[in-house]
Amino acid sequence: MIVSEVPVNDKPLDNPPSPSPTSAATRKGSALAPLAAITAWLVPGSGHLFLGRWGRALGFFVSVGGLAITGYLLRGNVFPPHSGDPFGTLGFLADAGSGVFYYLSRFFEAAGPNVSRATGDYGTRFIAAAGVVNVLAIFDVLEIASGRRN
Amino acid sequence: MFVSFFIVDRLKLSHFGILLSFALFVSMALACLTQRTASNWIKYTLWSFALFVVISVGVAWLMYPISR
Repeated sequence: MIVSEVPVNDKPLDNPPSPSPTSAATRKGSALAPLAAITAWLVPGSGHLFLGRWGRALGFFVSVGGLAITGYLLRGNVFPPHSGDPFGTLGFLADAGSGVFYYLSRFFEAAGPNVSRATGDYGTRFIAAAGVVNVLAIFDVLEIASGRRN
Repeated sequence: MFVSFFIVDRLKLSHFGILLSFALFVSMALACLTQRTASNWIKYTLWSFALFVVISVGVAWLMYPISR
């Protein structure tokens, strides 16, 4: 199945401004890239919204939020900043990638994790996947802001 | 019966329900990263979702003999 072909009259997912490598808008976008990336990390999807890609903003917000909240409801493990071992640090970096959803874990998972059940273990993977997906979204924002992607 | 196949109780999903929700959310994110038009986004999401489910069930069946 070929999904990369773009039909001529196909409707865009969002309506981005057409970039030009030498345009003032691109130079302005490059200058705003760090701000857009920080915004994208804080609230998933907001970086794309900042750049006018509302369709992708909604998609990333729903997917990152859905993964994180499902992980919390499954009572997955949320890694703290100072875990003391390398795997715990990697887990924290993955979890913290979801920005504001990392801090919402206290709200959604008030009873704490329960990894004695398989579902709790799956929840841990959901929470980490949410962070990793948001990191990919941040890279996408940086590419768009620098004019390398549309 | 049908609902209990996906949702064990209000907050706990069954294993298959967990697989479906993970496949859906990750497929949406991958489609956002790679596709730029609405129709391609939908096609890619559905295709990726189907592959997630089919391959996961296939791998589960392959692992079934060694679980005994």
